[in-house]
Amino acid sequence: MLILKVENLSKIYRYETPGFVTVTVREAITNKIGKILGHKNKLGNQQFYALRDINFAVDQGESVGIIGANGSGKSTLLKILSRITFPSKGEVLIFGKIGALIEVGGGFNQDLTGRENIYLVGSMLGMSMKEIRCKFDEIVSFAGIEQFLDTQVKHFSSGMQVRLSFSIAANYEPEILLLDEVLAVGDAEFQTRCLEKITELKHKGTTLLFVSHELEKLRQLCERTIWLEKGILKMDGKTHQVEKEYLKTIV
Amino acid sequence: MDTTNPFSLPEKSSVRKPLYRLTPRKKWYDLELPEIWKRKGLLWLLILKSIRLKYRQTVLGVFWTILQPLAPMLVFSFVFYKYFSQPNEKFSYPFFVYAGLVVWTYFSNAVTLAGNSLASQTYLLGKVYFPRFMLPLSLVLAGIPDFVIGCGMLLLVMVFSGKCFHLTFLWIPFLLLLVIWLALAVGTLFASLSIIYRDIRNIMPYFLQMLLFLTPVIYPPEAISEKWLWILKLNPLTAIVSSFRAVLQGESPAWDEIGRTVLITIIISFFSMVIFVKMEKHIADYL
Repeated sequence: MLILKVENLSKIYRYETPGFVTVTVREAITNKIGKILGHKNKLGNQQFYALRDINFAVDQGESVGIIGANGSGKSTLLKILSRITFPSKGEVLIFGKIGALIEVGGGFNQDLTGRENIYLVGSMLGMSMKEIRCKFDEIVSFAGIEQFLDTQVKHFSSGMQVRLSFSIAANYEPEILLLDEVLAVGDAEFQTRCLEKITELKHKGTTLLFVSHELEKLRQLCERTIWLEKGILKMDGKTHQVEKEYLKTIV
Repeated sequence: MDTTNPFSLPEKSSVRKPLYRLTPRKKWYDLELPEIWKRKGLLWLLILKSIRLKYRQTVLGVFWTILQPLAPMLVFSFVFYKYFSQPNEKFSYPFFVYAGLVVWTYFSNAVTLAGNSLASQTYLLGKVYFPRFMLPLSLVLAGIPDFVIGCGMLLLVMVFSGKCFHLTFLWIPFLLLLVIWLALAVGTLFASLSIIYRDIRNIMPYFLQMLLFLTPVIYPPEAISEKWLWILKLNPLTAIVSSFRAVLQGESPAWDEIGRTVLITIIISFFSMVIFVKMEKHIADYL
């Protein structure tokens, strides 16, 4: 059953990285005047396609890995799917509850306590108060932060923050889970537990979209892999086949 | 799907309605209010967060609520007592200023917080999705308890200083709603503009400082010469502040002025909404 469909998706950024320098009022005015006078739009020439004409569909329960060099558009794709940023062209259809773990530790308010942050981040992800109350103990014990629940998060170690934020997202139990490089952080023991948790979610029928540079984990979790290169979908197929082609370009 | 079976139903997914359809376009009026309503738990948490954080690690805690308009009241009384005290008025000047400052303090705090709400929370906006309008909305709503406490103080002082209770006090909630609405519209406008133009964050304090002097908060409207009175009339806060004082004195609000304020507020809200929805798309790209 189809759960996610991406059609002709493009994302265009303006060229002046880093940070896509803001259009100043002056720039905007001169540009407008230039347009009226018939000059060529200067800003228009500096477009950059982070994603160009991406098409793919994912069925429920599938685990799809996404690989590609830095700057190939992997994170942009996840950001569009998780509704953080808008597509520039094309369309995405989503047929299920979507949950994203884009960046670990993201979303925590450093001045709030662990308890308060669980509620805040949990409900930002899309959990209802009732769901959070139900899952609260599980979230806390998975993260292993029982003693520090009422401590401000700014006093947490970075490892604790990582564990807590993964724990919240994993217990949200979305139908589609987007993971971006999250497993690259945390110690070996926690990474193993994360993998176990993800595998458990997979067995429950969660659809998984997983961005990673670690081919080994990709092989472990995903039967199918999408390979992005410079914003273009280069290959979409069985993980071991895609991996073979991908490694050829690296070596 | 088994295509050989003549009785098989058409593929279900093709007729299923998607939960979300992400497209480059967004309707100009789409503040995602249904989604906000669906996620009111989050809105409530955002409000609580902002209230709690305000008083965390402060010594005076909730007394700040009372102190905030009190301190400027003392200063303004010190400077202007001689000029603006009219013996035949029902109010003494300090009381007159305090009433104005309660409204003003709420408005300027709400606009400042809401106006900075997007630019100051970039760490959130790039990482997790929720209806963006929730941020300015929650901050404007989070100021309400302070506002109500301020009004309560005012009424307490009135009762204790022997002034009787007027039935016109019942108009106060209506006036509060009007200020909240106006603060939401102005704050949201600043918030959306500050996504692209960081200048806005520097402009806001000046804007508010000037607006304070263009609103009859520390002086009565009669102090302004006829020639410039139209400026006060264009300012939607004027009618609210004046009516607030009138109501405290047992007079009914000046309805014609309130009508004009409502009209101006609707116009500002409209622009605010259109610009917010337009800018909202670019939030994550301009962080």
